[in-house]
Amino acid sequence: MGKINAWRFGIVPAVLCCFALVFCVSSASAQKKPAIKLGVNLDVTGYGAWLGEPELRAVQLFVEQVNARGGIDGYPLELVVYDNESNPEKSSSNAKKLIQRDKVTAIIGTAITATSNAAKSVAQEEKVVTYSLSGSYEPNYADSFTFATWVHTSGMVETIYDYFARKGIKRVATLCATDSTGQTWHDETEKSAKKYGLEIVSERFNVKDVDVTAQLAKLKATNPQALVVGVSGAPNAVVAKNFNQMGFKIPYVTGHGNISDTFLKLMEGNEPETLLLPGAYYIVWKELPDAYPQKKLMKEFAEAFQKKFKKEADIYAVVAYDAARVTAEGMRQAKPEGPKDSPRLRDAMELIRNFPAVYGGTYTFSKEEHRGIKKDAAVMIQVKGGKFVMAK
Amino acid sequence: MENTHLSQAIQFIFAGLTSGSIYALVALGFDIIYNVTLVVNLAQGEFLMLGAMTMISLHSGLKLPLPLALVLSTLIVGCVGILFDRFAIRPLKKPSIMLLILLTIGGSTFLKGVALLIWGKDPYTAPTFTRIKSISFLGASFSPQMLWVIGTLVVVSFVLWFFFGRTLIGKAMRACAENQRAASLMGVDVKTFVMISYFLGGALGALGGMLIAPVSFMVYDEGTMMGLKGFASAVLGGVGSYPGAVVGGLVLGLLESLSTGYVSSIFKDILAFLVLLCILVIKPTGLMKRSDE
Repeated sequence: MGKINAWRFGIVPAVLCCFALVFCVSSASAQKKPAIKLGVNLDVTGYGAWLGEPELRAVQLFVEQVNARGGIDGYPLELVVYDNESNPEKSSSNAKKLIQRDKVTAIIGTAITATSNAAKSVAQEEKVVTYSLSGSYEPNYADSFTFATWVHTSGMVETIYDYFARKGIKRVATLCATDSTGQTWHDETEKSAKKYGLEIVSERFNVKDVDVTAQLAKLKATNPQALVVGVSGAPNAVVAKNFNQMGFKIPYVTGHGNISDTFLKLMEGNEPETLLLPGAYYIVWKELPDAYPQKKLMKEFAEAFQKKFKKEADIYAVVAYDAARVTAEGMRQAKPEGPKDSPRLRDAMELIRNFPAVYGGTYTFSKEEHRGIKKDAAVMIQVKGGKFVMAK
Repeated sequence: MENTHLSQAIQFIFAGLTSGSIYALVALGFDIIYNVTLVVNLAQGEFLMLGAMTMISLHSGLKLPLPLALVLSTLIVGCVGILFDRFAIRPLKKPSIMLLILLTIGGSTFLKGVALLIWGKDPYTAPTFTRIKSISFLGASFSPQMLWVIGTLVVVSFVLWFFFGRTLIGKAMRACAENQRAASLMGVDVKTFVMISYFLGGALGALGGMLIAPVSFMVYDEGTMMGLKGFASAVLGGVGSYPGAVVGGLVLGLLESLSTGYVSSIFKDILAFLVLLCILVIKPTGLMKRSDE
């Protein structure tokens, strides 16, 4: 009996202490503003991992920086991260989980087109802002809740044609793959050629072809001044080898999907005399004059990323960082408290004008324009001595 | 203008002969295995990929001299062929042809997976065997590697003709092809010859891969398409016929490049396979096989 009493006497003050503690903590946090939740639905593993990994790091870096500066107008940013394993089904269930269970206000992701398309229907159904980082995702449709980064292929083609105009190039040959990337390149190069008054001849090839000399021979007969090769990755090796072997001396221009170290390694020893591609200003930020308005931003980001992850920030990290910055800018205006406020967040993001991009150029959104970035963010880049440099 | 037409035609023909020779080498590998075992080995394209990858690793990675790398890769992939037979095909107690073919598909996926683990997803390429950049011929220019490819096919065809026509081992292998039971009753060790056929199949695939790596690139899953084209060539020429494999491969390659050159590059694969269908409808046994067989 006495033993129980002692136990009871012990527990009462203990419980009281606990209550007191909880009260103290909750009153302390009541003075702080509630966190705004930002969801991340990225392809951290699976075949999109090479994109998803740097993208996740960039978002983590951004959230850390924002909170170190005291959050968004005092509201701390809280990150909820789910890996979709590059799997479309997982991507859509992640999006649902983030919205319904974690009550996030906006979602950053995903990295590849297939998973972005899967998350799109959830975004529209739940009316929650979802920022795709995939280059070929299309965010502009009626009542869209999705946003996208990257300059569209049409802008990249115009960047190339502006360069051609500067160099007096009038006759252009194109050799585009028959896959979806190649198809986009084929259509966009044809479409813009009229506007720029270029003479254009086109051929197609299969990404699995081991020889394209037949196509190149036909193109050569028209005496072109430049060749545009619409393909991403390894098939460029086949085209470049055949191109050199047939004695072409004209500029060889390929797509922005080729800005990677793998591409440089692949082309080593097979580079055409002049190898060009369009790309973001960020790729060549070290070469930019100090007067370039976004140079300071680029430098700060590149150095912070390098310091935190001991790794160079590639362009994929940049688009994720920009997506997080744009979303946070919208949050600053809308002060959303949960998924229900996401339509307000979207409207606020659509009002963003001339917001400097680490990518290069600026973001200007509207109801009809959810990509926000135009060809002024892109520049012609040349491969010289195994490095990407600004084309002269 | 006449001259441009001529040089274009030559360019198309050389392009066709190059891809055609590779298809022919893959088709020969198909036929050798088919003739001895009646198995259509759908992993033949993976042997090609393995040959190219091994050669690139040995030559560019380990810095072995090119001839040594070539010989070693041929042997290594030949041995992979043997292991493939030993561990995937032979353990089956009561093999039906359908089951065996399905097994080779499994084998092909397995080999792709192993290649993915070893070499990753990155594409690789190799320097050409000879240092000359390009050769000009009547206004057409082509890579010296083309001569290697076409030359190898000629040499391989001759060696195979000699091997199967003039040597005892070759004749014994042909006997297995005619009738395995009768051959074993005549004292032919069928199991050994099945092994030899897989070795040759692997080695021929590897040869094709090593020859094509310098003009193109190699990724872990690049073999599948090549295997398909090689299979189509074998069917076109008549399954099991060695001259048929060579003719089938060259015809398919030429069809592809000529339809690119004279019709349209979008219809390349469609036209090539349309002709293949037509030929098979008219002559179901293939171009080079007698219909009474």
